[in-house]
Amino acid sequence: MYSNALSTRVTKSMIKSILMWISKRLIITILVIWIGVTLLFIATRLSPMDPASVIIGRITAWGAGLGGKELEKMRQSILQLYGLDKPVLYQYLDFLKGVITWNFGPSLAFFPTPVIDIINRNIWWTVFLLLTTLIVSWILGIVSGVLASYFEGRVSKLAVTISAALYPLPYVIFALVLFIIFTIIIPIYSGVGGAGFTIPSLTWSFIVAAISRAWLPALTLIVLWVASWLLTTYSLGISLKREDYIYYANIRGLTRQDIVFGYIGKNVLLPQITALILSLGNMFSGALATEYIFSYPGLGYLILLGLQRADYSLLLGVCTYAIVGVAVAGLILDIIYPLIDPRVKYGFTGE
Amino acid sequence: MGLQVSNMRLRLGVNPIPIAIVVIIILYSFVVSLFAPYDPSAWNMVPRDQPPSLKYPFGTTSLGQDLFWLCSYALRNSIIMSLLVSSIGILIAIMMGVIAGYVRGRFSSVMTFIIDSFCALPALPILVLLFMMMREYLSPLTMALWISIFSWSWPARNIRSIILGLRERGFTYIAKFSGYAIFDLIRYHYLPYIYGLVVTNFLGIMLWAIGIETTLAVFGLISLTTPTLGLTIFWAMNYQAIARGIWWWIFFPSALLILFIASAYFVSLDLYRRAYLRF
Repeated sequence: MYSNALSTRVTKSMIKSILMWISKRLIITILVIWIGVTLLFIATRLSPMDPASVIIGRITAWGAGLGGKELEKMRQSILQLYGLDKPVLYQYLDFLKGVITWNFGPSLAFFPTPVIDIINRNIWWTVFLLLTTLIVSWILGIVSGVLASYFEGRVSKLAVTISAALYPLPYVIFALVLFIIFTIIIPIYSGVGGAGFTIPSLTWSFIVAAISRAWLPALTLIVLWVASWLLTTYSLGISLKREDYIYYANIRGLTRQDIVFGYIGKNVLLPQITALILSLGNMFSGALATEYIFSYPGLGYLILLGLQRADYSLLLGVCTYAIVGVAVAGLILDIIYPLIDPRVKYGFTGE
Repeated sequence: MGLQVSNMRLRLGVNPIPIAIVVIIILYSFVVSLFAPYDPSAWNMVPRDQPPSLKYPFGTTSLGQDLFWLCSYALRNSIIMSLLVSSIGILIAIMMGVIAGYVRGRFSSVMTFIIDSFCALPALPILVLLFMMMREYLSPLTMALWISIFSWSWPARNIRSIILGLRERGFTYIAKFSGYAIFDLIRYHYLPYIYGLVVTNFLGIMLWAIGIETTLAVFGLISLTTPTLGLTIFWAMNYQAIARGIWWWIFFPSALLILFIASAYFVSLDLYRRAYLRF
């Protein structure tokens, strides 16, 4: 209706301020990754256990008849392999180098196989699950939240109450409840078991297998996330509704559709994108917990494997992937942000 | 002012059902557990795999534990652990939030950056790695300490945004010009504004902590000597309770957890609404 005449022409200063924005975000992303990775490093070094004794413990548990001397030698070579025989600062730099060169060493459970190979095999399951559920739940949650805040009534109140009851539930518990419902009470989910670990391919049978395996974890995440987006959008929408410009739009006789989507919806979008960027970490954690419960073959399943086999490097790899993945996803959203927020274009990037 | 507020409270009213549920559950976990006739977590105290009956209201586990007593004891431990997490978390949150909101300039943006990056970190995988590495040394206290590292960021953000708003209010300037020390200003003029927020955030951290503790316990990453609801579910899953038809072993702990978390969240929503009315 009001074409934003100002924004039709791209000026040099606009490009400059957008580039400024992006480079600032890039630095922030790198710093976030650095903080996360450093936390990981501290976590691993604080532990009273070292991976060498873990591996040796496994080997002796398998009943290999090794003498004390051999074990000690083995221990030394494992320590060398992981660089644990050097001073802590050196270890830290080594660790950072591993992250930068994207190399987490061999897995302990599947010994010579590099951790990256294992993760790369499974990560697409997580990416696929996360992307679809994230987008679907974000859109559904915001649309329903805006509608619930504009058309207050019995339905809206019911939706908000149900969301408020679901929103704080831990993912594992909700996943467990859905798992029990759909495998025992109404047995229609049968994705558990070895199926689905086939190599991804674009065949019809694979797609069917993947969907039959993914729909229940996806449902878990979508329900919980829609609840959370609905709740936050609702409270944003309620406070927006009291703003003068909405009142004015009503007086001007704009259609409901214009007010709901153009006025409330658009203004809800910005804080909700910020919220999305900040909640990516939490959402990722939730997805991992859900995958764990359903033994869905993504990173959550690798956590299960890593725990069962005390595979320290595999878990370390999964954690690093998680930290970097979340930070990069945030960066991508940050880059999209100027398209939605016109203030960035004109250099008003303050709070 | 006081009268107005109390009038508003009367008019607003609070939903009594969630409060009643929370009170009953707290009584069940803190008072009832005192009367356990035997150590609730000890094995082989009662016949195994008994379905719920008059004698065993929640049934018994395959380890020979009476679920009625076990659940109350476990819930108590879960709540105590989460209280510990939220006490530590809220202190950090207030400190970080007030500083990041009140101070200006580069220092403040660094603090804000730290808060935001802790919001964005995926806490669960990091905690999984950490707890796996110190599995043998896990105690409720160390677990709570570690979990609280990831608990404070969202409340800190919340508090920061409120302080940012308060900083620009007239009374801040009046207080400053009349020679208030910064600490007194915060203590006497800002804290009353964020009390409500602090309480709701405290509850928020608590619920989050119960959730993350349950998740880690289901993963088997918890001290096996202190029963919590998560640990009860962990054992139930380990003994294939669902497949073997011992549904009560999973049903009662999960139902208690869901009831408690959902109704406590409703209570905190009520508190939140009230806190906001004070502005």
